[in-house]
Amino acid sequence: MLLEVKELTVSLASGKRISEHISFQVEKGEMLSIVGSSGAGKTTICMAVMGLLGTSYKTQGKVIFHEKDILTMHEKERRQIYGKEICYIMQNPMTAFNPSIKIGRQLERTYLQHHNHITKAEMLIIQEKILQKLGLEDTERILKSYPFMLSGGMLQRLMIAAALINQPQVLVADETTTAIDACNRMELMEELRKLCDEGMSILFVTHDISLTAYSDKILIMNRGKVIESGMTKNVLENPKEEYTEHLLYACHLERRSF
Amino acid sequence: MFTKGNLGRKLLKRLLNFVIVVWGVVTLSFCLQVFTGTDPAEMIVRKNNLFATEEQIQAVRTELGLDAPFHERYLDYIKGVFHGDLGTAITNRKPVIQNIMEALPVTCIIIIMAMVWIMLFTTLVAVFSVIRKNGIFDNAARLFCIIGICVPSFWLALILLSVFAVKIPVFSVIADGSIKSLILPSVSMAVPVICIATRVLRASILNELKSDYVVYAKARGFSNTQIIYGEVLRNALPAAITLFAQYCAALFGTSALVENVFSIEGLGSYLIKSCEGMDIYGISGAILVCAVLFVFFNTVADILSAVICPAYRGERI
Amino acid sequence: MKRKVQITAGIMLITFFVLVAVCAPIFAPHNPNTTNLAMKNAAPCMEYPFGCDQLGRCELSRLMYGARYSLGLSIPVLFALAVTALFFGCYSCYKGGIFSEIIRLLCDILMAFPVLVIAMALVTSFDSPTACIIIAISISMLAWFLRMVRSYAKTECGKEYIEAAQISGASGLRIVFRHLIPNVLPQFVVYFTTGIASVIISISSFAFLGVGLVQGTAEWGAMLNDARNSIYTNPSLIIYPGICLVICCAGFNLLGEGLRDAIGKEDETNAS
Repeated sequence: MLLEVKELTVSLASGKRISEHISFQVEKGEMLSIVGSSGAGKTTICMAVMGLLGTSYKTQGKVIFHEKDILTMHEKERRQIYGKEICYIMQNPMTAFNPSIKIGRQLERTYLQHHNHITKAEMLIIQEKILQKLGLEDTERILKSYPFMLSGGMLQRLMIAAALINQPQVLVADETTTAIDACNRMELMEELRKLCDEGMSILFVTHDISLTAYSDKILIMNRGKVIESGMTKNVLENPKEEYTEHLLYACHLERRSF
Repeated sequence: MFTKGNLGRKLLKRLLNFVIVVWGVVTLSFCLQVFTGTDPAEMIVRKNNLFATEEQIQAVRTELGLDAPFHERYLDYIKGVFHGDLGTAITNRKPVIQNIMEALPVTCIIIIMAMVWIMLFTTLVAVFSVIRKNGIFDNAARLFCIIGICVPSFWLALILLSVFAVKIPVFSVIADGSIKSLILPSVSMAVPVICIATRVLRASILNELKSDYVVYAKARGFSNTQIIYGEVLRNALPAAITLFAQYCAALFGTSALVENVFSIEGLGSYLIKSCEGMDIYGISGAILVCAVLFVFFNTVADILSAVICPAYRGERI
Repeated sequence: MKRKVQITAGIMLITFFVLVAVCAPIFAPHNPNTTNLAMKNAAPCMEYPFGCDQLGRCELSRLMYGARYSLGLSIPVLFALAVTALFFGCYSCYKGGIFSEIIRLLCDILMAFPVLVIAMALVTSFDSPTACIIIAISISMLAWFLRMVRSYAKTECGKEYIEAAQISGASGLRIVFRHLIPNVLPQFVVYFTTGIASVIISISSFAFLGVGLVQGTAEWGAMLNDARNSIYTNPSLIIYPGICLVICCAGFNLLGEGLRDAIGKEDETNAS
């Protein structure tokens, strides 16, 4: 078991609960989808797992990675995990990158944060390999560009590139497909599935239940609580809860088939 | 897009702006002198001889070319400017350009030193304030800055002079052109600007810290210090640089006061002397230099902001 | 600092100084211009609470009358300038075109002009020294006010409610008065209060150089100038007027900062 979240409860300083008693496990090479409508608390879970919740939130519970609870770790140790073992892909690619630094440089920094110094030529090779793996040609132009020069779909792939460049064990993808059009969305899901098959674990958060077809396990959330969980195939074909049926029904209106 | 053609056009626009503003300033100052109603010739003659006759005054007037019609004098002056000739000073009969060149270096050194203090302290204090937000240093710095903005440069100069040169003789009272003697003047000019620039930079950094890219940087394992120096600062600086440029331009005005306190023969002192002596050419020449430097600093600041922060598309308002 | 504390402190300080300025003739212990060489550089005592300056004049009275001069000049003049700048700035920004460009260039030119020079050059043209100060300050601050108003107005003009008003057929003037000015006003008020502070310092700078007032008038900057010769004999003379300047300006700046927090604009110096 690679990553385990135990009884994660996030509340605001005022006491209001945003998510309650969330528990799940992610094995190596597994994709776990967390599904729910807006406001269900999905992004909060992602942020909690990544340790990004600020002091205005109160976090209870455990996030266990390699038998150690990340949330109680020292700052220095956590920084060695985040960005290297566990990588995050944010929801909005247009604002995630620093608008004033070239993409190539940002990728380079992400790499050098967790590795020793290498020559420029070696760095270029690594960057090109990653970009080509994600289906991006014209690597030279992209690496020299600023974020505002590139499209949303391209930036989303570059975020995945930045996440993959350190060869993490876990990928946390928060609503990764929301900012992209339908065609790119399918390609992206295929790529994520490929990564899973190659041994990476993915925590995939979405509000679109049709995308969960690619995942192994699924977690249905509503208003901060887990409604149903289990193997994707089982849950989607035999939903036990009303809310799950409701989500599936809403999806069927778009005429998708599993 | 930051294409080459766009850049050329922007540069041209800036240049045009520069020329128009400088021309406007020179014209305005020239008009100001001519319409003030004092007769420089009269002042010169009366300096030596209290009971000068009208003929003597008229002779001086003709000699200085002051009785030519206004537009002739103006055109002559503009022609002269293009050739680097700013006229002859009425006060000491030397070419204005020579007077200015003698006075300029000292003022430039003071202002450059002041700018160094400002850039150094603003960045350090603002960043440290943010890293240890709401700590002792932060609160003390904020208090100091609130008060420091209200402190007039010339008063600070007087206080520094009386404390460090009179009471505790660390520095000399009279400036002797050495760098050490210019420390007190540059510091007194720098302090109010440091205070306001630090507040602006601090607020700018805190504003940037709310951005998504900061969250993303944290998620990739960067430490707070790394984020602030490596990512946030370049986005936060343009706000401070713009302010800094405006105040730098104003520094030439405050330099007159500080030079007065420390008895330094700089551009500011020359300006004041020219004003007192109603020296049209001296005043216009000094103003021309001030205006050129002012627009120059603002342009440099704009370019610097665009270079440091390519996302900064500041439009001139 | 908490917003309320700042605003309250600012208002209290400003009110204090305004009261001092207005009531100086009533409450000042002595005539500020009466010299009494016997009391030269006297230490503080019952009759002279702050002591005497180098000509034996009561320091406290001079400080009180100094407030009169500084505040009496800056507040009315700036108020008139603000009203003018608000209207012309908003209107020119809204109309755009050549009119806007001319105003912009004019502002650039006037801002590049050292204010001091204008004041000194005008000294000889006008009989009243205060008139040249007023004109010099007006020229300089008008340029700054216009520039700030235009930058605020530009941000507002880009917003959708202006477009909506245009579509609904409102005339230019109506849009400027009913929509643009009310939304620019809060941000401008903040700048206005800090502008008063800087003008007070400017007036004192002029007085320090001897420009803009009759020799011997009780004004903080002028008092500092007189005190320069007394560095050795009576150093406290340097401190009092300076402190008055600092506290008076601090009042306006605090009010400005507090208002800035109140209107929620985080662009300049607010940081929580």
